[in-house]
Amino acid sequence: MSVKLSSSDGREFEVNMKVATQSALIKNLLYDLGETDEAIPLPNVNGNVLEKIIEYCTHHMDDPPALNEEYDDLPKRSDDIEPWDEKFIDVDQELLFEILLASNYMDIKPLLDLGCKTVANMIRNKSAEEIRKMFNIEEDFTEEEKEQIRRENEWAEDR
Amino acid sequence: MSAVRVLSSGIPPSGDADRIWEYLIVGLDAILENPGEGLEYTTYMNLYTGVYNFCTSLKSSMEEGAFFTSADPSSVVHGTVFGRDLYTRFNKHITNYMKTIAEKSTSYAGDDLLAFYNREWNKYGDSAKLIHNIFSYLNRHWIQREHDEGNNVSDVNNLMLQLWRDKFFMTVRNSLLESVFSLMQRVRDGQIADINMVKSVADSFVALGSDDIGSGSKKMEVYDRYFLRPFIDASVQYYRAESERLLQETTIREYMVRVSKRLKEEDDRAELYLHESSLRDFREALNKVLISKQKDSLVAEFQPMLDSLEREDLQLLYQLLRRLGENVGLDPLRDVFSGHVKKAGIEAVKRVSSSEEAAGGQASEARVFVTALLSVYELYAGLLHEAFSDDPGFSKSLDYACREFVNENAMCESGSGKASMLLATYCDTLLKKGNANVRAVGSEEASDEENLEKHLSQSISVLRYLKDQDVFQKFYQRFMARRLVYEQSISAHGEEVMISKLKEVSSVDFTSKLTRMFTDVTMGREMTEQFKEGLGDGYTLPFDFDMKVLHSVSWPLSAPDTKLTLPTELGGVCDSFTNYYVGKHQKRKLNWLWQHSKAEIKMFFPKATGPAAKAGYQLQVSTYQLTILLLFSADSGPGTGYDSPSGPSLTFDQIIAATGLDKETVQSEMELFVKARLFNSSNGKADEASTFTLNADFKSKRLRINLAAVKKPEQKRETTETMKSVDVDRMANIQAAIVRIMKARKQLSHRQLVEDTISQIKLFQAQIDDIKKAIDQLIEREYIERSEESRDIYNYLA
Repeated sequence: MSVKLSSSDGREFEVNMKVATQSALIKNLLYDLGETDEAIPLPNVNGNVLEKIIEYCTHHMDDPPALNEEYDDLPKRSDDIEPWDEKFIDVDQELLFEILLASNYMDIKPLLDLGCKTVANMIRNKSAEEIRKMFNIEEDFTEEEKEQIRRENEWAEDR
Repeated sequence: MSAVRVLSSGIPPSGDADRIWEYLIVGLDAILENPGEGLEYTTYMNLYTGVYNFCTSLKSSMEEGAFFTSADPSSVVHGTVFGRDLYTRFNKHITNYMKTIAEKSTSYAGDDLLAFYNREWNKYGDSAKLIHNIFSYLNRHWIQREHDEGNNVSDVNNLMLQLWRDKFFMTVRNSLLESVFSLMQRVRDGQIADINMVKSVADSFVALGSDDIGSGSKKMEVYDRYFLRPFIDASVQYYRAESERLLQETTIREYMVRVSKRLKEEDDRAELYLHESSLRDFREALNKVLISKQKDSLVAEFQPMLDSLEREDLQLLYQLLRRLGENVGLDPLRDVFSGHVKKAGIEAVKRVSSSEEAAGGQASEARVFVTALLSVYELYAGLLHEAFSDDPGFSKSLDYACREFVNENAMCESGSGKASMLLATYCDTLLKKGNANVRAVGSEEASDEENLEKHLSQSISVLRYLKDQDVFQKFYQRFMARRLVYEQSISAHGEEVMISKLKEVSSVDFTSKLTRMFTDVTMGREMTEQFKEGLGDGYTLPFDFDMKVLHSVSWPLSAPDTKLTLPTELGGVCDSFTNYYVGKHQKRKLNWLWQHSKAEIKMFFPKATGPAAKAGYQLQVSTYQLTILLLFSADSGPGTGYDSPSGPSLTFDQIIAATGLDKETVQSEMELFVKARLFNSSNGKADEASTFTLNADFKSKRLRINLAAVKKPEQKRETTETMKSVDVDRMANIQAAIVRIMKARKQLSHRQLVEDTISQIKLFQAQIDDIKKAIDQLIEREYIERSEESRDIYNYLA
């Protein structure tokens, strides 16, 4: 059983049902409307990103289903990424963010988590200045604001 | 532009909230209008994406690939603003939709209103599920975040249900209920109406949950409050009126029939449309108005129904009152039932107690007695099954009543053990040869074996109710011994069947004795064969010989009262058997029970004519009789000193001297001989002054004469003796129980000891007087002593 997905730039992918339904969005749609020959359009995802997402979902198509409620309540860690996933997500920043957006849009929880963990690992052990530089963020605090933040976070400083 | 064309023409560009909302409205309305039609994948995805874009409107203002280079630090706040905005617009739109539905509903009433409501409800329910998923981005983000912050915001599906309830349902529910009631009224009046509409309405009330949908508490509140309670009230009102009318128009019996039918109908219907959680409340409300209020009148009908055995009415009444619960409904009936059965039993026995049969000897008395008991027991056991569904409570009442009338009635004094004796006698009749008529009572089609089994099973039913099981056991064992010794059993199979039935209700102690008795007889037969074979070459016995070796512990038989000098004809054989047996079992002692043995002989009278002259008379005699008769035999030969033309002539004392028998035995046997005209007595009597000669003129039409039959007065004596031995056993039993209890407890008050003893003894009802006697004897024999501190306390002496 397969399903057709079409990207915003008109590329069509035929994938296994088990691959497609890792997206809760597609799963709901098939449940609500039933299966037809129609391709499912994904107006917010372009072909490159969709291809990458299908790669991920294909690799994970036989994973046991996540325990929905409990999954949310578990304390999150970012050092438990599987080797395959780590290699998969080792992409340039732009693609990383597009994958993040798409997995949020398509409601693919494990992939969204993988993206968030990766970003968290990028930030870890970096100073504010380094982070600003990495993500191209302008420093827009006034001196007073900076002083206040320093005071509030004094307890956490390395001494 | 049609909705479909708008929807498939693509999503308005991101960032323009108003235009996206316009677009979403078209989709929402199309779904609400006809959720069953189904959307195309594109439309579904376009609407979902519309919601997504609305909530993430920020994205449009960002440059490609620079999501985080936002100039606006309040991006998070932005998401919140857009989510809330969309939720508010959505709320307002559905509210308006609900108002139009409410408006439309006012033009309907009755069944039409129900149909309209159900149609709209089904449509709306489907729409809500679909819209919930299309708006899932809103559910997942903005609503989720509000939840996390502790704000009570319903998800899309619940919001829609709430709006249905608050903006439409609340305005229509009263007219809706009225329509339901009017439909129900028609159904109850026997008209045809679609009760599925009631079910759909009830289901919608359930789905609407509580006033606070989504909070999870009191899920059934809307249903309970706005549907169930008014529904029950209306039903109760309907049936109160019907109940009053019925009571005026018909009898209470007819009332019972009609109400049973009504309740059954309501039960069946309720399962079709009420939620399962409310079935009990509904049933109870109807029970209260239709049964509880008439309970006393209904219970009062029970006795007359029992009197005339109206099975169907009894069953109906039972089922009706059972609805009120075990205790409230059924206990009054059970009490009446038990009293009725007891009375019936006592009357049945009374009726037969004065009959001719009851006076016609022990066997006949036993038969009418047991038959009377069974007639009552089987009648009401049958009723228990047919009318009262084998209800355990009624079963208990039946048992109680049977125990009462079986043991104490016109034929049996309380505590006399007579019921037990009679039952044992009845069993004996069943298992003894020659009572085919008794066994055939009942079904003629059944085989003899089946009939016997049936009657034996019935006997066991009676046995269960006996208070003096020990009396039954004693008599049963004696009767069985007699059947086996005299070979009167109907069949070995019959005996075995009964033993196995007794095993189900009696102690192992008892039944193992019976089994032992049974095997002794079988073994005896084999032993006789072996003995005869072992006699050796060419040696044959002068007569046919058969004996049984019985273990004295298992048999209720005692040594003979009188001595006996065996005639030489017998003596040799008995001695060689004794030698043979003791040779095989060296440590055993063999006692000959002459009083239980018998012989068959042929007697030739010199003056006899016809067949009697040729074949002689065949006599069945006891060993005592045989010994006496042999004294008079012409074959006694020369040297005996009694030769004379008419045979020997012997005095009373000579007979005693020659046989070694005691005076009583000789007297009773000679009386019998004289009476049977076998002998002539010098003085016409049989006493110490008599001289006896054989009656040479003896004549009898029958060639077979049985002189060994047990005589009537002996049967009576046997009964008294058996009862006496029961008393002896009881005393031993009581004493053993007391010693067991005292050994375990060491010290006990008088009252406690008496109570414990009574409760320990199951086989019979220990009487307090007997227990006191037993205690005194045990004190005498120093098993226990009275405590020095108090006379009321006993100590155990090791």
